[in-house]
Order: sequence, then structure tokens, then C-alpha cells
Amino acid sequence: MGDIAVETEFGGRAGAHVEEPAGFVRRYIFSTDHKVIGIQYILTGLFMAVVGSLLAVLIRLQLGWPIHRWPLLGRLLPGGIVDGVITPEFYLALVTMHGTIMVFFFISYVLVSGFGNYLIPLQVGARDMAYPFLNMLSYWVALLSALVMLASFFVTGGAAAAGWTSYPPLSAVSSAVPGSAWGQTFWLLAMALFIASMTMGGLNYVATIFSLRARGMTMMRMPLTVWSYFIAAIMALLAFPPLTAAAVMLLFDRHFGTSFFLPSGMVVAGQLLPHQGGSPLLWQHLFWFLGHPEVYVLILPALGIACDLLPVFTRKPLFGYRIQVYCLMAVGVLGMVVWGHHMFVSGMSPFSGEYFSVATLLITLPMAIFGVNMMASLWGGKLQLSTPMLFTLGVIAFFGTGGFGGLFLGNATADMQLHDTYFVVGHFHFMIGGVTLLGTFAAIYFWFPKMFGRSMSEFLGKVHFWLTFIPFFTVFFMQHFLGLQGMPRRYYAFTTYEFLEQTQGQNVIISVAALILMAGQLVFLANFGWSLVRGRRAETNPWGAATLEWTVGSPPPHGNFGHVLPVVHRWPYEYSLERAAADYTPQTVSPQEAPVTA
Amino acid sequence: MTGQSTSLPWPHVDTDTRSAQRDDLVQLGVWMFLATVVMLFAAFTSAYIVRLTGSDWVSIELPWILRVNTAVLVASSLALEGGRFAGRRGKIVSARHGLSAAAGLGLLFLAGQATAWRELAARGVYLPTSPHSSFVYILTGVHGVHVAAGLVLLIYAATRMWNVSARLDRDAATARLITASATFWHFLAVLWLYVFALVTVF
Repeated sequence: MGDIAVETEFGGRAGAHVEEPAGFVRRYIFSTDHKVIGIQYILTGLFMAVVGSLLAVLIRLQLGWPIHRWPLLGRLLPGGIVDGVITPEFYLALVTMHGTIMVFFFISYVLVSGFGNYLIPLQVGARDMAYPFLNMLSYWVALLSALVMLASFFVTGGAAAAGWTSYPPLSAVSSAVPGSAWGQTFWLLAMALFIASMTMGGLNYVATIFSLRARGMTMMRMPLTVWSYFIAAIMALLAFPPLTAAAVMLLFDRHFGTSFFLPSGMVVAGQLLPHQGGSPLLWQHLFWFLGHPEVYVLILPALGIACDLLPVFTRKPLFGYRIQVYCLMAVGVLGMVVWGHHMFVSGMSPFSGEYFSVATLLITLPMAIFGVNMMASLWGGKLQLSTPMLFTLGVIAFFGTGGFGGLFLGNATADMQLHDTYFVVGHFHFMIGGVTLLGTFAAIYFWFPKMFGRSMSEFLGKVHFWLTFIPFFTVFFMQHFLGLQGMPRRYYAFTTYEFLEQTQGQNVIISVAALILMAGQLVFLANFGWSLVRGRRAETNPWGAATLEWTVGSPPPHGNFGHVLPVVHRWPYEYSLERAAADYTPQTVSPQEAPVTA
Repeated sequence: MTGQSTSLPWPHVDTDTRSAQRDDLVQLGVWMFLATVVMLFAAFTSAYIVRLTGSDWVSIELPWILRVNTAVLVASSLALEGGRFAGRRGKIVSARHGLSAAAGLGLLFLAGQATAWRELAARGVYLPTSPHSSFVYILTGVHGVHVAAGLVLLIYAATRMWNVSARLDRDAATARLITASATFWHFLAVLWLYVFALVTVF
């Protein structure tokens, strides 16, 4: 920006922020630029995804071939794989950490924090987030949280092993399982840091969307991506702090002898515990008060991004924009008050169960409308099946398939049978696993040119899509049927249950599909790495999209919009207008140049 | 909260608009943060109510000094408000005194809370003694951590005030900081009244 005397848009204090910071460290490491922070989040999250995927490979090896020995793996992981056999304790740590890492450290970081940071200021027409310093702090706390979580693999007893939900008493009694020694303490500390980081991020999202929109960018002209981040951030701000309270109480139960979650008369390893009167159910309520909104925090951005990509690759406006916004709001409200549907078998009052059932099934309405509108957006469009579009179509497919499972699980009567079976595992992997995963990939392929100024390979992208979509669908569709056959989740081995012997063949197929899925991700990593250094140079607007970020260079300059902030004249879905210069009309085009439809 | 950014050539922008917008942004951030603290204490409250119904609930006698601490924290809030009032009237010396008194009383509050803990411990009432004692320690502790953070903010605001020579409304950044700290500080006083009522009544 040269040496112009600077007065920033934020007033004097943030003056230093306007000029692009000099030096590698200020520019790329301790940066307050939302674009750099977004990319930092994305790279951190992708690294965590690799870790979480490797854990999944070990889980599938155990489930597919439970009596096989893996001496080579035993040499790599002598603590968890003894004589080539995965120990039951290590298996519990594997499922716990796979869930934790994928939910909180992969999808949250890449999709919510990564793309949220990158896209929000660009799409609303702001130079940066509302609180850039807080934003930087948010990333560094998030990184610390990830490191603490990873460190838990190396402490006495290994990583936490009480499930990603960390139900007490298993999580509260150090001697209950090796992972409940120090691993669980690290888990709780990492979660507290995660919540602190997400709170800082959430404050930025809401304030930026609320206050820093460009002139003409009314709320009802915001892309659905921004809307979904807005709703998700509000949910996160309200739903996450209670788990901090729960984590504090669980830490005190574990280390200082209190009895918040531990009932009287508990005998562990032949020893009567001194605790009395606590309520394990209390933890379940507090955890799911975070846990259920969290799944919406993850899935809403994936759906919002899918809605924004559909018009680009059908060359026609999104169907039912306003309805989509209202649906997001309805889901935001309802999503906060249905956490009890995770607890139908906990012995809760049947009246509570009835309420949670009805409220949960009510969510079907806005979500079904949302899904139908996405499909209606395809109708009559000129479909361009490029890689981001394939992943977007995958989002719709998974959303529909997984959503049907939700109908069964949301109904208390059916859930009694299906609770804690692989039906549940299949369901949530389609939703917060699959929809979010495909949404993340759609976002990466779509915005990669904007972020790095280079394009990813379309051919490798398509190979990656099919190697992701088909195996993923196979794995988790089949798991629904395992659940119907009564196969419980989290069990270490199914060799000793006669009624489950028939499932072994299916488990082998699932494991093979899972390995193909993992191999397919190598194609992605290769494409990502290669395109980063050797990809074709990307122009400003390679996809012909109408939102604001495509009006600035690839990558966008520091401050995003040069000397003049954009003025917005229309909604973000102006495609194939008659009397327009091109088949897309950017939001900045004035009414004199092209008619405004919304 | 206009939500509209001006499109004047950057970086030559209208400073007054920008400053007002920054005021709004900081206050919005503070209020959203307070919402998360409310949710934190809502969770503690729900746990409190659940545990209250347990058969092992034994109420402990609360240290008398907690009442003194309550008065100290309320006095701190009043002093702060007095200081801000003076600042708006341009009475810079009174403003300095008000802010400093508020910070001093805040420190006194924390010292008083520590004394309350020592008194409980001296009586043999520890964290695991009863669910009530667990909650008393944890709620005062978590509130105390927030007070400590508020105090850091307040002390910083007070030192800035000692360096302000002009009227407060001419120094937007300091005024913003003082408003933000005051919002947080008053919230902490109200939160303490709530916590104190919770552990006293039940």
C-alpha cells in the first residue's frame, strides 16, 4: 500500500493493520489477516484429518479382520498393538480420538474456522474481520488445543478412551480404563481451549456479518454461505460454554474428589470409590447441550456452501433463497433444544422423551424444505459437472440418505432398538461425516484458485470424487444394516457373539471400502500439493461466479478490495439474466448496466 | 449498528463515522462475550439444581465476609460509574479517582474472596465436603477468574485515564476502553449478586 498516511476504516488504533505487514513472520505466521488465518486453520485441520483417518484405518483393520495379527503395525505402535494384536484399551482410545479429532479438529477447523475466516469478510465486502487481533489469538489457541489433544497419545495410559462423548463414570475414574488416567485430563483441557478458540471466532463472525457489510449488502443479499456461518456462530456462542462448565466439574471430580458426576457405591477394580450422590446423567445433558448444536455448527456451513455452488454450476438462480434463510433460522432455534434425543435410553422421563422426539422430528420440516430447494435449484439448469459441482451433488445425496436415518433415530420408540448400534454410526457419518466432508472438498476445489492463485487438476479432482463418494456411501450405508442386525458400536471384537457371526463378511466389505476411501484421499493430497506449486495460474473469476470475492484478484490483496470498498446492487444469484453482458452478473454491477431481480 | 460501510476512497475515510462504528463493534463484542458467560453460569446453575435434589446435599454455613465482599463489589461498580460520570463532564481528576477507587475495591473484593476460602478451609470445609461446598468453591472461583480478567481491563483503563489530559470525548480509544470495561465490570457485579443468592438461598 506504499507509504500513504493511513487512517483505517476502524479508526486510528488499527492503523498498522492497513499496510501489509512486512516480514515473513508477521505476514504468514502471526498474521491478523483473515485470509492467512483461514488458510492456517485449513492446513492445520487437514493435518488433523490425516491423523484422524489413520486412526480410522486401525479401527477398520480390527473390525474387518479381528483375529488377524499385524506384526508390522505392532512395531510402529508397540504401546497399543501387542504381538500384532490391537489391544482392547487401545481400540477404545482409537474410536475416542477418531471421533474427537474428526469432529472438533478437522471439520470444525477446516470448514467452520478455515473457510469461515477466509470467506466472510470477502463475501460481505469487508477488509478484515471485526476484531483481527482476537482472530489471530483464536487460531493460536486452536493450534494449542490441537497440540494438547495430540500430546495425549504420549502420556501415561495413552489417549482418552471414554468415547468422544466422554461419559462418566468411565471418563471420571482414573483407574477405569488406561485412557482415563492422564489422557482424559488432556482431552478436557484441549476441549476447554477449543471452546475458548471457537468463542473468539464466533464473536468475530457475528460482529463482522452484523456490522461490516459493504454498502448495499443487506442481510437478504448475503450469500447463503455467510448466512450459514452467521447462524452457526450464534449457535456456537450459546451452546459451547456449558461444556466448559462441565469440563471444570469433571476435572474436579477426577482430581479433587468432588462428586458432580459420580454416584454412590461405585466399585472400580475391586475398590469402593469415596464419591457419592453425583449424577452421570448430568454430564450427558451438558455434553449434548454442546454436542447437538455442534453438529449443526458443522453441517450448516456445508449446506450453505452447497447452495452457493449450485447456481454457479447450473447457471441459474438458487431456488427459494428466502425460504432457505428462514429454514436455517428455524434449524438454529430448534437445534438448540433437541439435545435429549441422544439420551432416549438413559432412563429419562417418558414425557421428556416425547418432547425431544417431537422437537427433533420438527427439524425434519425445515431440513426437508432445504433439501428439496437444493434439488429444485438443479431443475432446468445447464449442469456443469466440474469437480466442485460433483462434490456439491454428493452433499445433496448424502444429506438425503443420511436424513432418512434421522427419522428413525429421532423417534424415541425406534431409537430404543437402534441406540448405540452401527445404525447410529452410519447415520452420523453420512451427516456430520459425509455432508461436511463433501462440503469441505467442494469448498476446497471451488476456492482453491482464489486462495492460492492456482487451479487444482480437474482430472485428479474427479478421480478423487468417485474414490470418495462410492466407498464412503458403501461403508456407511452398509453400517445402517449392521445396526439393524443388532451390531453395537464401540465393541472391540464381534467374534464371541453368535448372532453377529453373520456380519463378519459385511464387515470385511466395509473395511475394504474404507481402505479404498483412504487411498482415494492420497489422490487429493497429491493434487493439493502439486497444484499449490505447479497448478495452472487462475484468473480473477475462473468459475464465472457472482459473489464479491470473485471481483478481486486471485489471491486477493491485503485489505481485500483495494482503495474503494465495493457497493452491492443485487443478490448473489444473478445468473443468465436477459439483457446482461454475461451469463452471470456480479453483485457489484449497477442497475443501469443490468436489471436487478433481487 | 448501521451495518453499512462507506465507500469513500480508502484509506482516506471519514474518521468520525469510523470511530463511531468501532464503538459499536467493541460494545457488540462485549455483549456477545457476556452472553457466553451467562451460558456458562446457566450450565453451572442447572448442575446446581440437579445436585440439589441428591440425598447427600448438606448445606454449609457461608463465611460472613461474603456479605462484606458483596458490598465492596457493589461499591466498586458505583465508584466506576461515578468516575465515568465525572469524565463525561470533563472533570478529569474526579474521573481518575473514580476509576482508581473502582480498581482498588475490585482488588479488595478478590482478597475478600480468598479470605472466605481460607475461613472455610480453617473450618474443615473443603471442596469434596459436600456438594454445596463444591459449588461454593467452584462458583466463587470461576467468578473470581472473570473478576481478575475484568480487573486487568479496569486497571489498564485507569492507567490510560491518568494519561488523558483532554476531555474524555476527545479520546475515542480511551473512552471506548472505559465503556467496555465498565460494561463487563457491572455485569460481574450483577453476576456476583446472582451467584451469592444462589449459594445462599439453596
